[in-house]
Amino acid sequence: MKEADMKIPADPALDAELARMAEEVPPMPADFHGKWMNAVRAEAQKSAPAENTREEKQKAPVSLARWTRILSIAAVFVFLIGGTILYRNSGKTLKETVIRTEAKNAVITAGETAPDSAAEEPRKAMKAAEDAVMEAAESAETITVTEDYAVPEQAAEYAGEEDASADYAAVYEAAEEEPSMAEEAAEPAPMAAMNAAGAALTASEDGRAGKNTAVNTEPAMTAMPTAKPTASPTVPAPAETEAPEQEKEETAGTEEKEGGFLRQAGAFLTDMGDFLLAALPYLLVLAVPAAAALVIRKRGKK
Amino acid sequence: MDELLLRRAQGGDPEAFEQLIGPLEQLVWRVCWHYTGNREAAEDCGQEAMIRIWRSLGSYRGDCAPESWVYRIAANCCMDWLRKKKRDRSESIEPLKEQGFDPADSAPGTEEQVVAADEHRRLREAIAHLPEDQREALVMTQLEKVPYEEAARLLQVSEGTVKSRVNRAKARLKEILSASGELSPPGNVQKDERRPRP
Repeated sequence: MKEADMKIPADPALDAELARMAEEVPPMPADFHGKWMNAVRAEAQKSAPAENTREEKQKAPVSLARWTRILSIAAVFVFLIGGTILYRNSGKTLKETVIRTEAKNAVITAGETAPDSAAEEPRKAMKAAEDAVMEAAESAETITVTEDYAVPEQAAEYAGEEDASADYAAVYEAAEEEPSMAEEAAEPAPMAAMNAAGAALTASEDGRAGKNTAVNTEPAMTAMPTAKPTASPTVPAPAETEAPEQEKEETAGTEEKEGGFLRQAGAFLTDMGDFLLAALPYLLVLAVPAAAALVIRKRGKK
Repeated sequence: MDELLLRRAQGGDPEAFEQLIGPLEQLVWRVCWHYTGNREAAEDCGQEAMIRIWRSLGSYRGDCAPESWVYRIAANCCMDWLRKKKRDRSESIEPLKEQGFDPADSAPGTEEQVVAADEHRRLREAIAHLPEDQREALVMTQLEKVPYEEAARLLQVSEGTVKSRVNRAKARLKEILSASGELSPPGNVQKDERRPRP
C-alpha cells in the first residue's frame, strides 16, 4: 500500500478533542494589529536610510571605476595612435630632409658643371661653323686651298661665293651668341633639378603606400585614349558601349579602395609596431616604477 | 494579491503592506495560537512573524498563494520559539502554565468547562511533547485543517510522509493521554521515537 493512500486510523475521542481545540481559538488581542504595524513602520524607517547609504556607497565606486576604465582606454588609444602618427611624421620629415639634401647637392653639382659645359658650347659652335664652311667651300669646288683657308670668311671670298660668305657670317654670329644661349639654357637646370627632386619625393611617398599609385593611375591611363571628343564640352560622350566597362571599373575601384584601405591599415599597424619598439625603452622606464607602486599598494591593502 | 500593492510594499511602503497582509493577520494569530497554545507566546510569535513577512516580502515572487506563504513563515516562527523554549527549559517537567495552558484564556466557570479545560490542557501538553515533525504535521492537518496535499507541499515532503507523521503523532498522543494524567518527559518521547517499529 502506498503511503499516500494510507488511512489515518480513526480515534473518535481524540479526533473530537482535536476538532474542539481547532475551533477554540481565543480572540486576537486588540492591540495585535497596532503592535505589528508599529514594528513594521519602525523596521521600514530603520532600513530606509541604510538602503540609501548602501546604494550611494555602491553607486559611487562603480561610476568612478567605470570612468577610470574609460579614461584609461582612451589614454592608451591616444598614446598608440598619436604616438604612431608622430613617429610616422618624424620619419617622413627625416626622409624628406635626406632627399632634399641630396637634391640640393645635385643642383649645386649641376650648377657648378653647367658653366663648364656652357663654356664648351662656343667652341663646339665654332667647330661646327668651320665644318659647315668647309663643306660649303668643297661644294662650290672653286675654292683654292691655301694656308689661309683656316680663315673661313676669306676662304669664302676666295671662292667668290657671296652667299657662302653670308652664311658663314650668320653662323659665326650665331656662334658668338652661343655662350649667352648656353648660359640661358643652363639657368633652368637648378629648377629642373628641384623639380626632379620633388618628383623623386612624391615617388618615394607613393612607394611607401605600395603600388597604390601605380594601380590607381593605370585605369586612368588606359581610359584616356578611349575618351571620345564631343561637339560640346558640356555634352557628355555617349556611354552606351562603355557602361559595362564603367561597372567593371567601379567594381575594380571599390576593390582597390578596400585593398588600399587594408594596405594603409597594415602600413599603420607596421608603423605602430615600429613606434612601440622605438618607445619600448621609455615604456620600460615608466613601467618599472609603476609596477613597483602597484605592488606596494597591494601589500599595503593586505 | 494586488500587484500594485505588492510592488509598493516591496518598495518599502508600510501602508501598502498593511493593506496587503492585514487581512491575513487572523490566520497568523490562529497558527501561532495552535502551535504555542499560549496567548502571550502566540502574540510574540505573531509579531515576529509579521516582521519576518515584511523583511522577506522582497523575495515573494507570487509563485504560491499568499496564504500558504504567510502560513509557512508564521509556522517557522512558532517552531523557532518552541525550539528556543525547549533549549531554555531543563529536562524536568515544568509547570503547566509555562507549557501553554493559561486558565485565564478559557475562563472556566462550570464543572464541565473545568473538565474540558483540563482535557485541553493535557492534550496541549501532549502535543508540546511530540517530536517536531509530528507536531508540525498534526497541528497543520488536524488543527489548522490544511489539506494533506497542501501540507505536504508546505513541509516539502510527500503526502504519504505527512499522513505517516500524523498517524504516529496520534498514536503517541493516545499513549500519553491514556496514562494516568502524568506527562511523559520530552526525553522519553524522543527515546520512544527512536525505537524500531514492529
